[in-house]
Amino acid sequence: MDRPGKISDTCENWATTRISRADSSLISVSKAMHPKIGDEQITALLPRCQSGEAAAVEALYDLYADRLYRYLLARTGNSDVAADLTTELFVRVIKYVGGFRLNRHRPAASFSAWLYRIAANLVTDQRRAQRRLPQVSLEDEWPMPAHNPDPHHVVERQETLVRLSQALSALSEDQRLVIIGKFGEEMSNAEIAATLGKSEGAVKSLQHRALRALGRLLGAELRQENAEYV
Amino acid sequence: MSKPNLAAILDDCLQRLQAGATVDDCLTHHAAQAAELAPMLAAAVQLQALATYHLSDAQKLRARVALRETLATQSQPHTWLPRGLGLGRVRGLALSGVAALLLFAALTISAVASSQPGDLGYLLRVVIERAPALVQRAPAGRAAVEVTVAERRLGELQHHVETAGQASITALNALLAGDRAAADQASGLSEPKRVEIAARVTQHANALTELAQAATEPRTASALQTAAAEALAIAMRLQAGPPTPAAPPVTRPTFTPTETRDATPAPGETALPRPTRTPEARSAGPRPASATPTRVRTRLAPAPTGAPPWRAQFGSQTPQPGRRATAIVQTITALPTRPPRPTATPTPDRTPAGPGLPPLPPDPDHRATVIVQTATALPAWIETRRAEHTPQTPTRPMPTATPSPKHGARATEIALTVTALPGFMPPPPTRTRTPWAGPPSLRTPTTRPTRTPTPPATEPGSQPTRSTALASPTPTTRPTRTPAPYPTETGARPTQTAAAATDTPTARPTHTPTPRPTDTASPRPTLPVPGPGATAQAATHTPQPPRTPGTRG
Repeated sequence: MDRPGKISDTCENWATTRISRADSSLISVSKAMHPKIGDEQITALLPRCQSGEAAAVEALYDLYADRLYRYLLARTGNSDVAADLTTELFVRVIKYVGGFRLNRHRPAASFSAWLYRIAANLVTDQRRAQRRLPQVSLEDEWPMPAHNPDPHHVVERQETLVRLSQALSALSEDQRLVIIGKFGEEMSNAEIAATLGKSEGAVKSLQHRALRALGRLLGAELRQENAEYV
Repeated sequence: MSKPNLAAILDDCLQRLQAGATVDDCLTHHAAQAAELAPMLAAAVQLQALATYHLSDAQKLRARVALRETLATQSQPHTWLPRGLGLGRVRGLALSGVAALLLFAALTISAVASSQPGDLGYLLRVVIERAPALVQRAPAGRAAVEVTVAERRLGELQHHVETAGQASITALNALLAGDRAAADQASGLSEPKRVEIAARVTQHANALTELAQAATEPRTASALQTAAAEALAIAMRLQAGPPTPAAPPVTRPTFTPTETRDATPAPGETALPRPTRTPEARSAGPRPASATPTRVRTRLAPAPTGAPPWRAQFGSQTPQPGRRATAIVQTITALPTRPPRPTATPTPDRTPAGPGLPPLPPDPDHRATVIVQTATALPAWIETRRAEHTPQTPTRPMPTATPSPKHGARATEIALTVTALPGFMPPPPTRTRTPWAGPPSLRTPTTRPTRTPTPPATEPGSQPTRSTALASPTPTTRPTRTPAPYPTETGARPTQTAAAATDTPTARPTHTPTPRPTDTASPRPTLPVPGPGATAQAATHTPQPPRTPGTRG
């Protein structure tokens, strides 16, 4: 297949540029920041949470807050909204954890699935509410003085988040969960399969279709940007 | 083929990226799929940035505060459940309540199902067990179920009488209600089915009769007897079938005073069972001018030799005397109503010389003889008992009913006892004698004449009916003689007074002459004076009621 050399070169350059920016050390750090959640932890914490123990609830928050925040961030594209939704998510957990029945065979996976389901519902509710009453971020209107020494990097991250959230919105929920599990929580295919209750082959297939769609969407945006520059 | 490979290659590339490799390394390693892998790996590199995002400490602090507030709100009791009563305990309590309810229901049902007469739940059982009959749509099935339930009640009644010595009113009423309902349902069925249901009801009556005989307490025996009579009446009614539209509902055969004379047999004839004379139907056409009554054997009275149909049905199980009386009732019921006609017969001396003459004023000496025939509707066993104390009918003096002198005519009335058990028969056809009192101006509003039985001493030799024989029959009345269906009833030989067998099984001794004693002169010639046995027409099946001494003579 004879592809246009310009576009191909552009894509390769774009990928190379991004990869060159990617810090390999960041990946190792993120792995250290997202330790695996064991079944024993959930089995021990959940009854205490159901009885209303504050320490157990905070321990649960520490375990899942960043993971759910990344999911919500990828869905909303706004860090503040994602943070608020994360807090709201745990409030709902406190309210409804008494009626949750843990799967004895895969406690952590079942509890994670329950949390992500709540998160998805929250995003849906938030979008519905936003449709009724549009909200504007103060940061977008009046940019605060940057505490970050590299404001360009901050803006670039914000733009990347928005593009990712828009691209992720085009995926199905299973594809989103696979992508966020794969890249947000750096889970293995087996862990994702256990969380979603699917096989590893199904996870690979979902991953392939999701990345192909994201590459098409993100590549189109990149081509538009390059065309503007050219 | 390429897609799975590409998915596997992509997964390998992602693993390499996570391990620290670059996109170029991956594309170089998979050069054949580099064009397809490049955008996907570029998206993956962007997605890897997600792992670097995390909540700030301030955001976490705010979240913790919000969670503690939520926990504090959650810990406040806001449910109706008492503290310490969790959902599990509530479920346990609910299950216990449901189990207790089920246990109570099971115990109640078993107690009701095994209840016997006299128990608290027996009434409920009686009601519940009739429910299947209500479900049945077909009258035949419903009647069968009703009878079956009634048989169940009968069995319980028998057991209760045997054990407690008393009859349960509840069971008795339920039994009769079942029989009644079965008869109602079966009344519209075909004859074989009706006969079948009637036979079963009759068995109930027989069983009740046996129970009554075996009962030691008089009240129990009386109640059982009454119930037996009721059941028997139900069976008979069912056996007779639904009333035909042509049959008049009122059965009041009336007798005229001339019947006494007309029915007065010859001396040799009185010893035989004779059909009762009944007036001929007025619609039969013009009558001859002759005053001689004609004996008409109507269908009212069955043939002496012919047995009623129910006898063939029930055979020897039914006591004969009582059955006879009942059969007679049936027969009479089917008769058309005969309008009350003048019955009193003036004496011959007051008979006008010819037709068209005005009626004569009432004469105190005018006497009319009325024979009121009686019907005995007793069942056999009662009749048998009473028969022991019953004097022989032939030797019984003939009572005469004497009208009030104010009427201007005396009516000799032979009143016989009518004995019937309550409820044994359907509404009794009362025999009313309605003597015509002539023109309205001459009619006296008299009440029913008092029964004045003639003293026994005067009965055989005297001629109590002689005076009545003087009364000429009214030309319009042609009493027919109805043969006595069972002349040997009560074992008494039909004598002069018993010649006229019962033809009216009235349940009451309704012997109600109409307040219009016919005192008018008949345009027809009077009958010849019969012999001394002229008034001996009524048969006595049962003892006479106590008579008032003052009325004798």
